[in-house]
Amino acid sequence: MNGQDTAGHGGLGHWLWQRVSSLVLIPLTVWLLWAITRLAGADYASATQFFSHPFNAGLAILMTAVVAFHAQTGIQVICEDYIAQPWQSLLIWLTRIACFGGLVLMAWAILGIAGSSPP
Amino acid sequence: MNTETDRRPISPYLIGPYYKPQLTSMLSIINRLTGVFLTAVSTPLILWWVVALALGPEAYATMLARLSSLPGKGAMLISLLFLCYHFLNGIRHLVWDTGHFLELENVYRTGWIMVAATLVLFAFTWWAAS
Repeated sequence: MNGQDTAGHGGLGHWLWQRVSSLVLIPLTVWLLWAITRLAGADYASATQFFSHPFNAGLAILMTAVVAFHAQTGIQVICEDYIAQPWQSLLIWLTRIACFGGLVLMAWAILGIAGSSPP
Repeated sequence: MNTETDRRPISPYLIGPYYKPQLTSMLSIINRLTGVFLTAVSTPLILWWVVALALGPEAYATMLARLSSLPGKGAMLISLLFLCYHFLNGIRHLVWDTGHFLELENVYRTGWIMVAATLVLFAFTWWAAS
């Protein structure tokens, strides 16, 4: 032991990054709540126009990336607390794959909308 | 799989006959439950909506019709309520991480303030969105 990784699996890193992602999500959540008020029940033209602005498209993809990370670490902690092996590791990996897949799908959709409708 | 880590005891369950429900423990477990719901239901719902928008006007119209049904409205209402809760209680957790408001009296006080603020933020956003 040389003082590194004494928590077993870099537990301090997990703890720290969960807080960093929470901090970043505060302004992004304020943007999301504002976006919800603009987009709830919006027709096709105004909804696509919303994402044709680089500001909204960029924040949507950034927020999805931070949410994917934040959700994955949160679900991992819950799995580690309540679910025994081997299901614990399986669920953690399925969550990782789902979060990454969701991020890719979201980025593809947002870029597609932003690219097809001029601002 | 028979390492030391696998033989460690798991956390006790808060739900069941083991603990008397208290504001502190209930707000904590609700934070986890809302986090799981936001991950498993709300985020996929938003993703579905954005993908429908990307697929074109017809797919988007179908999505809007689904969302305006009773189950659709219910999912959106619960998602917004849980988002407000997880957002504000998350800020409460971040304040604790700085070492402030950790006295039992303050944990109860900020707990009730957070519950009230959640209802206000939810009601205001729902009203502003409709």
